[in-house]
Amino acid sequence: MNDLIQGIIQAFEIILSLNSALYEIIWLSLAVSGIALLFSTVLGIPLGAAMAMARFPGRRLMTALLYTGMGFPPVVIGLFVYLMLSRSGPAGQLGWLFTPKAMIVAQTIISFPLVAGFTMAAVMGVDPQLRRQLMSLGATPWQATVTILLEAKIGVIVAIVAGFGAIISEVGAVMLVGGNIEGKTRVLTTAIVLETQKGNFDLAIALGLVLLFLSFLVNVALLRLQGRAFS
Amino acid sequence: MLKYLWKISLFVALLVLSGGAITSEITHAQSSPEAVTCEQEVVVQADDWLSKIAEKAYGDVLAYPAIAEATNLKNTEDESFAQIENYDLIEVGWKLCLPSVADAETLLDFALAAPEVTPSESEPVSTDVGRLVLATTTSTENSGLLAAILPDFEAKYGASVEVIAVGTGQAIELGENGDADVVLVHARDREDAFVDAGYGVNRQDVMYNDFVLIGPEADPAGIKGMTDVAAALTQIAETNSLFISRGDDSGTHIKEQTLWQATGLPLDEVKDLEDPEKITYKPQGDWYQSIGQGMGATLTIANEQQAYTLSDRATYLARTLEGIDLVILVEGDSRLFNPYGVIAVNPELHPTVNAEGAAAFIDWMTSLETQQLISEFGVAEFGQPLFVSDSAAWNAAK
Repeated sequence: MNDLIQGIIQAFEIILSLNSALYEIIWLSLAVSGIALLFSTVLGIPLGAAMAMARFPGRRLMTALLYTGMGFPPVVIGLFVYLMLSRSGPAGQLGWLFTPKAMIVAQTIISFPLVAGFTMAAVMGVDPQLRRQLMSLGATPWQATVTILLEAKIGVIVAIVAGFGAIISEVGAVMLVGGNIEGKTRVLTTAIVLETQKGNFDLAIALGLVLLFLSFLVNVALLRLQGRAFS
Repeated sequence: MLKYLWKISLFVALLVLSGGAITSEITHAQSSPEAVTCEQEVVVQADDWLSKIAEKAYGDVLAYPAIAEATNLKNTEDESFAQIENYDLIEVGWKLCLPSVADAETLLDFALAAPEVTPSESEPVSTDVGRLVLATTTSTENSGLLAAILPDFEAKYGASVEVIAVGTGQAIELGENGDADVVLVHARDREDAFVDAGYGVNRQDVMYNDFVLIGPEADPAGIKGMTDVAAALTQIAETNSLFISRGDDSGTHIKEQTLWQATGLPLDEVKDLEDPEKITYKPQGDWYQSIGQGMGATLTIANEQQAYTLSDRATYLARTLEGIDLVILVEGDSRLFNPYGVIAVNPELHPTVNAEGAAAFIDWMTSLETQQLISEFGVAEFGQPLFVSDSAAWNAAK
């Protein structure tokens, strides 16, 4: 308990000390997870919407695969990306292993099924009559889809929040493919693991608090997008 | 997936190959007499190994090179004797020449432990020593050394040894509290402090293992074969060659920092955020990457990036079995040595400790026979020993 209280006090001291190494770590965490989230949103929302609205053979199987992907252990995805990008792997020539690029790839794969899956569920929750009604009013299929997505806005934002939560807090995959290299691929979660192993619990707690706070800030920002839905 | 199946089968194959046999890389006979007389002729049976035959004939598995040498010498004059090229490979039906003990000793250049002498030598204690608690570092336990040699102690002294494998600091603490009877650790300064403070008595050198500087075969810094580790590190720095540091405040990381300090290069001093007294030293430049992970992960990353790194020999050798292709470039500098000492816990301070057992353990650990066991450990699997024997008795005998 003492460790925890001391850690919290020290956490604020460290955060306020404007230590450049710490801000590098924070910045990299946000950049990697932010870019990965952008990719998975761009891929996941259209896919989720298509799977909710379109009727095609194999849809049931794809849904099952997507749901499996939502619960896939991140560290296994890390291992997969590692083997792909390894010197002896098929994409070894890229030289991406142990760079932020590899971390973005892994995090995109982790968060994309979450974004797609939750989007699908949200869109399926919209009254199916709406689409027919929109089409009969002369909307193009594109316009109809966008309108339905806007209708499902709350669910879609939950999808993005879930995707972000999964990757900003993820440690196994980024440790494997990033390598926790100081000043290069060290992010908040891998730094927490390192400091804990070194016995620097105070610093580990400080980093944990920073992580919590960042997560909170991002979620507040996303909720503001949801804004009107609550009023 | 296939790649891993392949790796696993390779590993199993290596184990099978090395089990029972001792690779031929350890010292072959230095002196070869002109002629040799066979005291016994043996035809190889199924499941025979040279070492097994040596054990039967001379009571010493290590006498096997003598048989091979003698047989090869005989082969030059009488072709019915086999020609043994690889000491690990003998075939059923081959005729071998077993020289007399005296001839074998000449061939081997070391004295054989004749079986009839061994029991009287190795039982100096009349009563069984019973339960003995040994506090030691993880390296001796994880490398498998203790599992390989302790049964001999337990059999000879009627002991049952309980091994507590922890970090050096904690092992010493167990000794200070009288929770262990004897400690086997590697941190000379702390060992001396332990003895000076009266917690321990009878400290003896046992062995050392060492760190090696490894890197890619291409060796862009051109350090292969250098014997001055500081000069080699300087060259890595000057050529901006990628170097992976553990950066996790471990024993290896601490050793690495002292080596960088020895280079005289300008170093960055990074103050610990939590404890400003503690300073981490690291050279300047992007080529130096601190990853804050264990030895295993460090080797993986260095291998992927074809970078240089500092590793303890045992972990490096174990990983070569799993296919890392980094090679040892610099070794043998005394600054890379990591000496182990054995210390009995002071019975005056803690009357409950097994002082007799601790004394027996120290005698046994430093005895020629055990030192021989230590110097053989790992040879069968890796082609080189993991620990170098270093007791006073061993060094005197050398």
